[in-house]
Amino acid sequence: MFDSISDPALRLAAGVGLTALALTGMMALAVVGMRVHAVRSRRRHERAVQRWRPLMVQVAAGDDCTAPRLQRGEQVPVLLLWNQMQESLRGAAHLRLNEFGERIGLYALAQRLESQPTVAARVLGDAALGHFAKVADWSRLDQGMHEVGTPASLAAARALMRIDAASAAESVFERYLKHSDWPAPRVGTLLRESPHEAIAGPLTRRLMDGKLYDRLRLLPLLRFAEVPNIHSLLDRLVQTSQEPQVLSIAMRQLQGPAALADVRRLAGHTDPLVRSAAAQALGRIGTAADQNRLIDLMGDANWWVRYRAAQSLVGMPRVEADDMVQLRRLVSDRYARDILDQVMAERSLAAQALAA
Amino acid sequence: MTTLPLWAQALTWLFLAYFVGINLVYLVLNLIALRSVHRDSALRTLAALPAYTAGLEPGVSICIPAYNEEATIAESVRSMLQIDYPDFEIIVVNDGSKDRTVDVLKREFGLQPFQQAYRRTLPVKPLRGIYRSPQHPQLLVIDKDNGGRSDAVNAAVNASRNGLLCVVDADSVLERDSLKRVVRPFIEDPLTVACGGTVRISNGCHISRGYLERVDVASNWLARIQILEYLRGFHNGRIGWAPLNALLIISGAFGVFRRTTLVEAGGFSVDTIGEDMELTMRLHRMHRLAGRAYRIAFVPEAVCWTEAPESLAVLRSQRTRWQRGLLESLWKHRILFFHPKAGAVGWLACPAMLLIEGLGPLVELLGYAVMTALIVFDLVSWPAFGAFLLLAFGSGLMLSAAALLLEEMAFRTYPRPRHLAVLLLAMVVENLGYRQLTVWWRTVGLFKWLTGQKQRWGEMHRLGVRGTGPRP
Repeated sequence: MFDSISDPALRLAAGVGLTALALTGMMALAVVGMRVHAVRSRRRHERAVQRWRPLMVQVAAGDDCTAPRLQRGEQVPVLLLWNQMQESLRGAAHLRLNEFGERIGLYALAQRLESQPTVAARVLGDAALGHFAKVADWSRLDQGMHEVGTPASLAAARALMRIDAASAAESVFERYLKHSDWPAPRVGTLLRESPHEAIAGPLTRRLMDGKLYDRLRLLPLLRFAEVPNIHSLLDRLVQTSQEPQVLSIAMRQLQGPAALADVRRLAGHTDPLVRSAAAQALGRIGTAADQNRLIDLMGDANWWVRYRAAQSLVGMPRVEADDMVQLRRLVSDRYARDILDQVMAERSLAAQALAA
Repeated sequence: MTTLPLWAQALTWLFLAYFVGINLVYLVLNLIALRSVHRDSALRTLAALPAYTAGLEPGVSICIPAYNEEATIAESVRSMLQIDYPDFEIIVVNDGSKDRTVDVLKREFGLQPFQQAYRRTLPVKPLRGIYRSPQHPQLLVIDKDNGGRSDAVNAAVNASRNGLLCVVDADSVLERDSLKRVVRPFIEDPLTVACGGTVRISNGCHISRGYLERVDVASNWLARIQILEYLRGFHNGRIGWAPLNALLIISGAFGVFRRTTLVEAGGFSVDTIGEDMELTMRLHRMHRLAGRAYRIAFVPEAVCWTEAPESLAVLRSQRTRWQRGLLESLWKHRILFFHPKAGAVGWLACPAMLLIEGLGPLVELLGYAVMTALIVFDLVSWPAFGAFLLLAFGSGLMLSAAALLLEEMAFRTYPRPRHLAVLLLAMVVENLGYRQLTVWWRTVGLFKWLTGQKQRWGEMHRLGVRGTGPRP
């Protein structure tokens, strides 16, 4: 065995080794080739931007300009540049750049990209179609939004909201609740840049009528949407809900005293999440009558409840540093004293930082 | 030439199967990684479009365990303070250093004693003091008795206020946007419990005041080969395992964990050498065996730079320690192997890790020894010997080339043609002694684990690669 190349083990070893070497060579060549291609495409991109940016600035400013022919290699860099500029433009400048984009073929390009299978192409196409805001693209974007796949479906949703926020809001919320692939912060950003009157109605309705799962997913969005009747909505949620997570999220956003009686009641809730949110809420909407309640909460078994209660107590109106020193002497619970010390030290550190 | 004895034939076929098996596993992992990288790199071209999460990232506590880091700690903390992230705190834990680590921190950041109601959620060694800085309200320093790296991280976990914890080595430099990137899986998928980023070698790079100013490759060949090793480890392995939710290591040099999950798991283990791998495996075990949905993610474009050893003594100590840590973790969580509930972790990742990384060095060493013996005793012909060397080196070269290909496709971190040339050359140089040395050290690590010998943490001699000026 192993004395000639005809041995099967030897042949296998040599074969696999040679194949690996050949693959290594091919990959090394591919690495070099890709580097050359990357350098060339970066230069092409830079040349396209250098050529088209001044023209787009002119158009946005309202100057007349003759559009040159868009070269094939320039298409994607120019569409990216056009999108970037449109993000910062509003009103007439935005419309002028739309008209210019259509003239040089960017609208047709965006439609083509939107229908491609690659995510990057679709995201770019959807972003551009959102700026063009043509009702004719509604159904294709709506279809794109309902597909599973976060970046492209969110880009389609953003485009729909740009075309007609009032009509899109319902289906955006429906899509958000139906699938779990859209992260709340991303939907929040989408809502923040949309007209608030368009989203307030659907959001409120779904919050009040929705099931627990829907409520839990919609509540964090409230801070991104300027819902006009948000205070009464939150009050109602605090008064009527049983679920600790709903209660805690709602209480964290409470601003008015309407639900104060319920917050006081919830300060004794069995769930520390709720007690901690109640302690926080008492700091914002509570009165001097709540000080003893907060002192009690400073002795809670849960660190976060103690911490929030101490923060609320120290931050209450007309509570001075001397009052806290006095209070510290009176507090018998060691945990309450420790947490009060920490919050007072934080205050003092913040004051020093401010003075510096 | 005489006929080969049966045992030698069997061993030969074993080596052959081993090399072919490794190549196949890595080939599959590479294909998975290639798909994932291709998809993400296409989306990276759209970076110019508006970010959807800007300003909405969850709060993160950056935990930096420090032991005898007086030379680098101030610069590290400064680098962390400059991170581009909306809501973070930095918790430095001085783990009973014998040098002036705490004094340097006090002086550089104007620290003052702070009365913190410290939660002992996880048991840790006694605390000596807690400090805060009026100039940098997000900086908290804990001084405690020496208890090891894990104990220090656990002390930071206890003091942290945010839902996410980012563990970073004291000698590491995070890229400014790394935290934003590594947190993305937590935003996109609430089931994410841990996420790792890529660790790259900073030797040769130009770093000033905690900023990575220019990427370069080291002048030392030992460090150059380690650049390639890290590329292989992170690109071939981790990018490939992550889509299967079977990543077995979130590097201790740069990893983010959900605080509640970390506390539920009991924090970092203080009696393990490879605490990062042990924790990652514990998280898999905790979720998989209980049938709980979870995700352990990896974001290759979130990058942390760290210094690699340039001396053989430190490298030897590191590699034997890593090998022991790996085997210790696999043994501790052996219940995962082929457990009906363990999924890809128990049926693919654990066996692959054991066979390739755990026992691989032993097989390779035996391969070299047996083939040398056979040629010495004239039991095999030189062409046969050459064929096996071709197989061993060819497979190693191919894995390195695949890692370089992924690097070039997705990241292009090393910008100059000279860098590419050096790395391509390092692929070859690695096989001329370095690889054999590391195989030997790792085999020593394996025997140390088998015989239960204690492993000391090696002292890393800092080379001052992080700044152009002299060290303080």
